[in-house]
Amino acid sequence: MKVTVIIFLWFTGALFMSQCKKINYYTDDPVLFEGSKILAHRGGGNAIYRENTFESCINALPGNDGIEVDVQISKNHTIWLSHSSDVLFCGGEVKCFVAVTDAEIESITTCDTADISYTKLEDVMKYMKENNIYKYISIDMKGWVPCNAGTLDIEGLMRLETEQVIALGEKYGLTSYLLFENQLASVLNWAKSKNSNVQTFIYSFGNFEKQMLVALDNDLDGISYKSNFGDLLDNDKMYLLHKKGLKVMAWNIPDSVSQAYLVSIQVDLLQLDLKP
Amino acid sequence: MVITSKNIIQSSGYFFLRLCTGFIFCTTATLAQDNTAKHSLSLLAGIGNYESVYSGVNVGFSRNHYFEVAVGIKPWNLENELYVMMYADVGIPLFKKEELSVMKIYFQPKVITWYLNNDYNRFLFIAIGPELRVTYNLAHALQVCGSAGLVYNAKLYYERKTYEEVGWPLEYQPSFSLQIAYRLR
Repeated sequence: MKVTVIIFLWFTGALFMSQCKKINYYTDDPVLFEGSKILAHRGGGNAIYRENTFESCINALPGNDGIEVDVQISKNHTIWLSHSSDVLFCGGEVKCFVAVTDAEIESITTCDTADISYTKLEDVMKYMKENNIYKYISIDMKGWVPCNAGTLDIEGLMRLETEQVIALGEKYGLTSYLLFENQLASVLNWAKSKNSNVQTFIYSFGNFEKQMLVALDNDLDGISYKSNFGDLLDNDKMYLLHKKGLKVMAWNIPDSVSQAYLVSIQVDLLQLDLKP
Repeated sequence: MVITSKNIIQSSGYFFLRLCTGFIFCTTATLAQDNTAKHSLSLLAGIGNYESVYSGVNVGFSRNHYFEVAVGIKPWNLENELYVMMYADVGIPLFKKEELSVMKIYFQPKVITWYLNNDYNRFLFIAIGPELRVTYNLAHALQVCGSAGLVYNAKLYYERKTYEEVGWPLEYQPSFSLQIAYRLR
């Protein structure tokens, strides 16, 4: 009798479980499309203004919806604008940003009369605050190769980087305009946990399905998508992403034709290289 | 009919099922002809959350160990989907003292290949995981078995059919099943 009951219960359980879904489908959470916003790529660097500098950012802000800057963190935990994780000294010496002090970076000014100085993110934010410029700042945090034992914890340093950027955003009232781009969902989650007003975008190098799932799994705001590469963006993909509550920030946009196409399919944010 | 990659993919579920069924028949036929080995051979049928409704063969060897293969299909089609699977597992007894007992417990590593084709996607996945199996002899040739464990899912093939939904199999999921086995020899 006891065995019969056990078998019956097990059978009922198995029958019930056989109805279990193998696939986890994500619920709809439509995002409102407010028109494509244009961000000046690399702080609006062009033939006249060096990329990721105070001057390039100031030049780019008036004519665009915001700027995209690449950031690095120094040994003093200050956020500097630079695409490369290396600090270049006049004379060819190269050091890691994370291993260089602010004083050393500030000492770099010119080399053979050419300006090779670096800009602090705070200087740009301060300028925006003082001039009532409330526009998007996309913070592109790139990883780096550890340069010594003290810089092995790249993820930890990236988290520190997000904290520092958010602290600046709070200081200058710009957190709602901060967009973080990173390849690590954990770092983006960390940013969101520090201030829920910031927006977070996971990198996608043309892998639409995988990064969409990562973004949905981690409740991120969107995908920072390398356009014209891998899985090409189109109306169907944008419809699905918006339906599921994800935005797209597209970069690697080679010309005005690509730009017009991305606007036509309702890409939310476009990082454009400015012409002089 | 023009053979295209789409046609091949569309028929892959049925092809997979036929392949699995053929494999089981071949295994059964080979073992049935082998009279020299001390093998037991059982036909089985059951139901499980990954196995759905399934049938296969269980080959006992070296007294208490066994090897088992089966194919399964979800016969009810409530959500307009095709689900088929094939699994293989081996059973290793946990307690030697149970050799003559009517109830035995086995450690059972299992590999499941499953295919799901619905309105939105096609998935071909492999699921691997450990299970525990409890067997109970109802009669001389009739045995009931319950298995439970945890499986890890890995993608073999994936295709999106529409841009209406986003879904993905859970990486880890519990598995459990109940089956009846009839011993042929």
